[in-house]
Amino acid sequence: MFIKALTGKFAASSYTLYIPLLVAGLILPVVIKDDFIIRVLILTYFFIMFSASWNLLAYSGQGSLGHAAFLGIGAFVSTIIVKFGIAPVIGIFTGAAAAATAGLFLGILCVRLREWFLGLVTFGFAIIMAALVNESSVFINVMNSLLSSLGSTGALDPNMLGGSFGIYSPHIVSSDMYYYLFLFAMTGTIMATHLIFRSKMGFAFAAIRENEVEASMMGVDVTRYKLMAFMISTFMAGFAGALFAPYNYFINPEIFSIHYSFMPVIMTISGGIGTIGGPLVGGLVINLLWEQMGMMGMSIDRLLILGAILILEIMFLPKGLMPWIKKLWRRVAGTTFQDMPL
Amino acid sequence: MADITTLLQVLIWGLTAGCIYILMAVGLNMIFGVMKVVNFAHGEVMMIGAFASYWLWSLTNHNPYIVMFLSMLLVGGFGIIIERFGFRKVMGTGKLNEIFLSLGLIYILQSAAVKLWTDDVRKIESPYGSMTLDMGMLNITYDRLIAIAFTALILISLHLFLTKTDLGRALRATSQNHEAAMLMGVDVNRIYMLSFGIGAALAASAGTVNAILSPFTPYMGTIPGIMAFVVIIIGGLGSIPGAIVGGLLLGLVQNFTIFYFGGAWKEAVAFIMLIIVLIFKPTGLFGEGRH
Repeated sequence: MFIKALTGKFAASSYTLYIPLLVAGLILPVVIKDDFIIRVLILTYFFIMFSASWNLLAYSGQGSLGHAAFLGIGAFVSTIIVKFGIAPVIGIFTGAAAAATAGLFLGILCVRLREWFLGLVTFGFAIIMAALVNESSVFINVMNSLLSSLGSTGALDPNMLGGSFGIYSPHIVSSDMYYYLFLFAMTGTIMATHLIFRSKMGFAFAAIRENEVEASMMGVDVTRYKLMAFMISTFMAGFAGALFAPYNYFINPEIFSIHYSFMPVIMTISGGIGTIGGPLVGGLVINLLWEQMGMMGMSIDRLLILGAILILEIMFLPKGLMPWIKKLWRRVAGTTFQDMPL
Repeated sequence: MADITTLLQVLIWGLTAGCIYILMAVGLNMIFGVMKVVNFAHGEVMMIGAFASYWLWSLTNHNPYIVMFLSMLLVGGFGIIIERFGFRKVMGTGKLNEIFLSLGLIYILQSAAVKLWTDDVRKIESPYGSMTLDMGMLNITYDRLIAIAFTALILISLHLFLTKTDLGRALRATSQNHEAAMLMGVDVNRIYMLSFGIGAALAASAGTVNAILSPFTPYMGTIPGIMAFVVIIIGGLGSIPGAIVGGLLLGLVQNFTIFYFGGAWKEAVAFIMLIIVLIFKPTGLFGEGRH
């Protein structure tokens, strides 16, 4: 009945539901002292952020198959900036901005094109980024000569140690602090997508997704909104990558791999594509499943299982878990409001 | 900086690389042209084809070029199964769903191959492996010549099939307008299965040629799969002449880039070509309007 009161009578808006979510997130590390579980949770939050950014792009009808490219650009650019000796906070936002710039560039290329073209170009872009950053690559050599000409010692390598938030040591910042950082960043990302979905921009995205021609007839500037969706989404992805690099303390071209492009797709679809809570639910379920399978010693099998889950979901559960959760919530809380954030 | 023989050598390498791209891209274009479905797992079908040929070759010890035809049949059948129980189920439920389905297929096929056959590096040894055609300073291995001749043979027979037979005409009719074709009595579902089967068989031949020319692992398909997409965007989505010209162009440009600038630029130059085409002629060299 407490939930009923909270959501029915006292609920000023659907944003109220962020409070229990945040409280639960804040209490968790106090209750759980296990470092491994904290690490799994941090990774889960990271993937939720990444999925939310992918979901925003899919909400405007553009399905990216190479979102890892923007994740990787954010991670690499922020690490390079930190290697130059600039404050990590600036590094993170520069990384995210660099990802958004790359996103704008790809968006301009693809804005006239249809779904499969966008998929093709983004899919290829991620793989080509990996090849560019790879060992023996020209890009790394150019960056290194640039660094040494500026008098910096930190020679770049495709397998870079990310700078942590202290100095170049992972021990300065405890994993609990990283946990809170990722918790707030994740909640912020979800809230940002929520605000965007409920704004004029969000309605424009939905209109474009449903029918581009009709949207432009109603006065929606299709090109502008599509590019905006691209930039916001890639900024979020780059931000997630820039946070991930110092936490992981190690980045290499693996971050551009198909695996990282694939995870937000399967997570968002499992949760519910185009819903605000979809990435949250899907990220939790899929990442915990993934880590559980990893603990059980599966390495190749878990890839196989994820692929099978994706195909079965598209065939039999295309809306993901969200409709079930909404139904369950309605029964527990007795409210019927439509734009529930969870 | 380079003498004429070296340049001719690079030309031959470019042509053989182009042949593999052509086989991949023509198959992909068959599937797209008829079904309007983009199969992102085409590179993985190619890898399955390479493994099918490898096992047939190593178990029976026959000539790999003869075994290749059997493997094309097998993988063609496999493609029909993918179409019937995969893409058929999601066709018409939104373009994104088809894309996601093929993404799932990449995962399943790749990890199933690693699971079944491990990720050891393998190679099909051709009986003509050490034989070369000497033309003065220039040495061309027979395997490369066979690859070029085989691609030409496949393209000619595909052309004859599409223009001279009733089934080929039905296939072209379906690609132009599937509803009208249905009204004319064409069994569209069978045509879909057929086109996917042909596409998969062509991918299998590309995989076999690739496995004969260079060593392979279960991850071999990813890059040629991407390159096949680049080729069909350069050539024009759904256009078979475009796929041929685009494939040769990409193979030649890539190999000359490797020769002059080094292997690291191989993928980058393909992407630069893609961007140039998307900026100046988004429909591709042979594309007909917007799809």
